[in-house]
Amino acid sequence: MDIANPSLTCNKKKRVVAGDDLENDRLQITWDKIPILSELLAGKIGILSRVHRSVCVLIEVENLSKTFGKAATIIAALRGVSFQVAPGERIALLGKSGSGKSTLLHLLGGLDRPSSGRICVGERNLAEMDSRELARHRLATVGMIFQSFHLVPSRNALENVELPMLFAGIVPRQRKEAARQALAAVGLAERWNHRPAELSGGERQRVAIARALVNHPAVLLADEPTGNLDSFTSAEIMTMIDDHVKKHGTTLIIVTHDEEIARTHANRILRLQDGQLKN
Amino acid sequence: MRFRDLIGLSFSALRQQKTRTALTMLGVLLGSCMLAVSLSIGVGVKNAVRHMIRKNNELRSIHIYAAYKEPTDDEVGVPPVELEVKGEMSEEKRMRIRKALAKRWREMHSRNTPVPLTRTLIDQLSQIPHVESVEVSLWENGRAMVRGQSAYANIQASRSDNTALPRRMVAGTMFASDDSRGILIHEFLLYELGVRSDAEVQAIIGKPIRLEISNSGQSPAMLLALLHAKAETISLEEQQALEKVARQLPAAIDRLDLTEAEKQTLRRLLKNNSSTLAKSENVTSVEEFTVAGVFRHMDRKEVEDERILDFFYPYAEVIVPMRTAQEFADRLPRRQEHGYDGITLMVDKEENVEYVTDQIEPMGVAFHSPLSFLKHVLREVKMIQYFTVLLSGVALLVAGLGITNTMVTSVLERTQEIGIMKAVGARDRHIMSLFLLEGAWIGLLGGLLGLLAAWLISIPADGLARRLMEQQSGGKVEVPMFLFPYWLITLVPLFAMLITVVAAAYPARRAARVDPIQALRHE
Repeated sequence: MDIANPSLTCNKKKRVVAGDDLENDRLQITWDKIPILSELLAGKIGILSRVHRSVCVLIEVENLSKTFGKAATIIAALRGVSFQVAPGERIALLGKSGSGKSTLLHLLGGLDRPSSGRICVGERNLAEMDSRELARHRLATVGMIFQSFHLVPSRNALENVELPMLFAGIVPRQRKEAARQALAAVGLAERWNHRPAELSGGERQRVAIARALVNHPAVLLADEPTGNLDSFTSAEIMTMIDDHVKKHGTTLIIVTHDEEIARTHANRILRLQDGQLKN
Repeated sequence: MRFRDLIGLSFSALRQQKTRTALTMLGVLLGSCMLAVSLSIGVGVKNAVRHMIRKNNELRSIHIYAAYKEPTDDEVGVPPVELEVKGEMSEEKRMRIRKALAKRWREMHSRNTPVPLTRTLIDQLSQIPHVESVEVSLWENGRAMVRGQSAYANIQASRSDNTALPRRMVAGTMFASDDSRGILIHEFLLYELGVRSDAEVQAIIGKPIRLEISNSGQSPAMLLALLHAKAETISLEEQQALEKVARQLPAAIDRLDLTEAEKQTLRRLLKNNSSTLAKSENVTSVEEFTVAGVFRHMDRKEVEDERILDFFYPYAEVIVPMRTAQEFADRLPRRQEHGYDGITLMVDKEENVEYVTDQIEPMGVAFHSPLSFLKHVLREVKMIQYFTVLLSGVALLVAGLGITNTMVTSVLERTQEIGIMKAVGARDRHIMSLFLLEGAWIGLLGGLLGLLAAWLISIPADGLARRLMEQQSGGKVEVPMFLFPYWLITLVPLFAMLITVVAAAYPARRAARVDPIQALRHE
């Protein structure tokens, strides 16, 4: 894949629409196959090279910086980070605490805005989006998993999984059906009416995974998803994530400080140190 | 996001905090209850007053009485020496004192006679647009003669469509028209005239009755009022003695302890009056009628019921149809000169009453319109209502502030939840709507419960309010004192909802602005 030469522009033609509605399985399968096809054809025909670039870059981060605080207390969390991600790729962001990996993930998820630089996910630059478009991005394009699970304590497992579909305006019957299927896929079909407090850490994270994937996002962003779990449960959770992304061709960006997880579950590792990418 | 889902989400958020929601709602409930009670009793009292006065078309009527013209402060004709203002003062004050001096001089040097309610005036009143009918009020003390027996009787005129009289008939029927020759007679007067048994009373119907009224309308008993003596229960013997005093008074002036000038003034005064009296005091109007019906006295309840609704004097002993009575009384010089005791105008529509009163005002007579009285009462009621509604509004505002406070706390407590919602795709608008809807629910439910509480309170309070109103007005209140019209049922919960939504606006805005990153870090 041609990811060594970061493009200066967002790819206008590529279409990553998995989140636009929930009927994009066909498209996502196409995405899954495109890297193979393009690898075969790249370099052989000039025109196909351009097509390759236009369809092979899902995420394009360019000279991204993020600072916190003001004047004397300013902290640079990210400093000129640039990279590209192809559809279906599994990226591990590795680094010590405070290296900026979670900040980068939040920026990719549209939870925060960069101080400078560009993040193109699909056609649009997140840095230029208004709050409404960012919400749309979080709802339709990405799914997020957190170390602390972040489930709504007052809602049961099914209702937690339903939440993204609620904001997508899906009718209750379809919503509940999709949530039940998502819970069944993570092995929690029987625990649908349990509240987070009644579930174990692993079960909570499985609910969080079901919630992150229920809208069939093109990109799954996982922020230390096994950070609060024991090794056995961690392996179980990672296998579950792996299975899903491979099956659906979902692009995965996982933040971890665990080399083992990065090597096992990612096909590319980006190392962050003091807010900068290391080779 | 679907609006129904938003409603469900907000409702479930309130269910999560049952106690807090209930306590917040209690404040709204109390405020709404106060508001509903204030509005309800306000509407009820207005309706009750209107209902009481509207009886017998009273609201279309205007009652006119003879009145004294207010002396003017016009300086023309006042001797200049009388207008001289002494002392140093501002020009404005000097002018005010001059006018006051002119007015006092006029009061002392002009004979102030009331504007009489004469036939000419009646004709003028009839010409006013929108006046449907003009009726005079007549009270005469005269004599009634039946089968050769005679007795003093209070004679009064009445319209043939009087609603109270038919209920009091014990024999015969109410006269059919205002110019009928058939009259009504009280059963006690008949008893005094010797018509006593039931059979005799039945037999008197259709029989002739002679009425006699005198031109001398002034009673010597009025002298007692001058001396502050008790005149209410004067006996016949006492009255005759007083009549003698009145006749001897002009001749007794010389024996009184008065200055010569005062004696002269009194002689002039008594001479003037006695000259007119002398000419006409013996003039009487005598006519023969037939007995159409016999009526009984009003019982206490009937008197109370009719007291403010009908200007009908309840102690009449002979009742004559309106036009017939007018013609009968018109023969007396006193009536031609001094007019009638009162006039009642009937206006075609309530909305024209004000126009007609505006036309009557320059005529110098005193008048009273039940509609203006009603308006006055309603204005008073409205003032009280404004005050109570204001208090309720304050109570609701306090409840609203409580909601703001509670919801700000709720936003702080639910920061992480808000962050999660934003992380999974909720827009700022969704979060804001969610909190506004929570406020709306509290307002709507609190308002509805407040309305219900007000209705429950109104059940026992209605009887109490009716008794109070009956004591105040003297009339019977036949309609509920608490009314809950549709507009009130709609307005109270909506107003409560408006207050709570406004109260929720600040916390909702704050919730919408929650930074998802900060919120997710929030524990």
